[in-house]
Amino acid sequence: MSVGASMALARITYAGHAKHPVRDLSIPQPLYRVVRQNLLQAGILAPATAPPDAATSTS
Amino acid sequence: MGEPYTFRSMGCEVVVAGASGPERAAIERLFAARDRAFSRFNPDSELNRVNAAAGASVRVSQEFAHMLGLALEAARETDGLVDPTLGAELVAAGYDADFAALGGDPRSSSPVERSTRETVGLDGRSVVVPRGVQLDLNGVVKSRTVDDALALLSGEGFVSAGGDLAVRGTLVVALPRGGTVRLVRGALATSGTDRRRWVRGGTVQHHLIDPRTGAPSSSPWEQVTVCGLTCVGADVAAKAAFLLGSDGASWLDVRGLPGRFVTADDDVVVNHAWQRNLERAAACT
Repeated sequence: MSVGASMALARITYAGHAKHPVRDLSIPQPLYRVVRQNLLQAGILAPATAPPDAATSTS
Repeated sequence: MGEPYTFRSMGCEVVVAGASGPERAAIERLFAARDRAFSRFNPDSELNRVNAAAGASVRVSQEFAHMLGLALEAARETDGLVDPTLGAELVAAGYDADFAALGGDPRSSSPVERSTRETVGLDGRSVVVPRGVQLDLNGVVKSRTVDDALALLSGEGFVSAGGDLAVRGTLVVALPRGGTVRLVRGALATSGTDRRRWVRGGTVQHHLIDPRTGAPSSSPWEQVTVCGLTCVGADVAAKAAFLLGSDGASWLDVRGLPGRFVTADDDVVVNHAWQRNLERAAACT
């Protein structure tokens, strides 16, 4: 195969070349929902087994 | 965790445990910077600069944009109950100076008139506050700062500011009006009216404004404590549950959030999620 043909083939098949117009990245909708739900997720409690080390009082 | 270290910021005592010397300094700097930027009572704060420009587009810091975005997210998650646009209503209720400086005021409070719930514009770092609206981001700033301060610790410890408490590791916590609980993961936040209250025009006022009336809430609860994965989430949920009154417990249950409610008569009520958490933990031990 000639050098010219090899170069042409490489340009067509090289995976790094964009084959379509570049689009802006956007957040997939399922991921967006997960991020939104994170604000009101629950923590974990258990019965106390020792005297308190800290307190929660009204802010 | 070592001996807790305390300092004052944002009008309350901040308690930090488990921090090294440099971590303590970084946490104090963080609180001081947030207080400077978001205080309604610092004339040079970024918050007051944005409020003064109501009606026009203002370019804000990345941190301000982030905090405002979080406050708007809290408003969406609570169907507008935890509303960051109630600054004018707080002033009308008499909360127009640092709480320590508030005294009895014989003037009656004058309600703020708003024809519609106008929306705050946030596009990147550009903010537009509608005319007549004043932002108050206190609903998220302190609790988010507690979360961010905890992230500065390299090991186990906790950060507490007022009613907001976030922990890495486990911690036994004293609850309002007695009782204790072990916080295994996440944060606890308490919102209520037993501390930040004052008299205006002969009527007791407090800082938890109900956006549906524009006046201090007449909730039957005096304090609501919520356990969340993050302190800001727990704080937002506690405020919403407080404002919802008798519907607060079920609102938290729908979201799986443990909640504990105290009335002015010192009656304590917990929701199903709180009860389930304790029962599940007891069954595992």
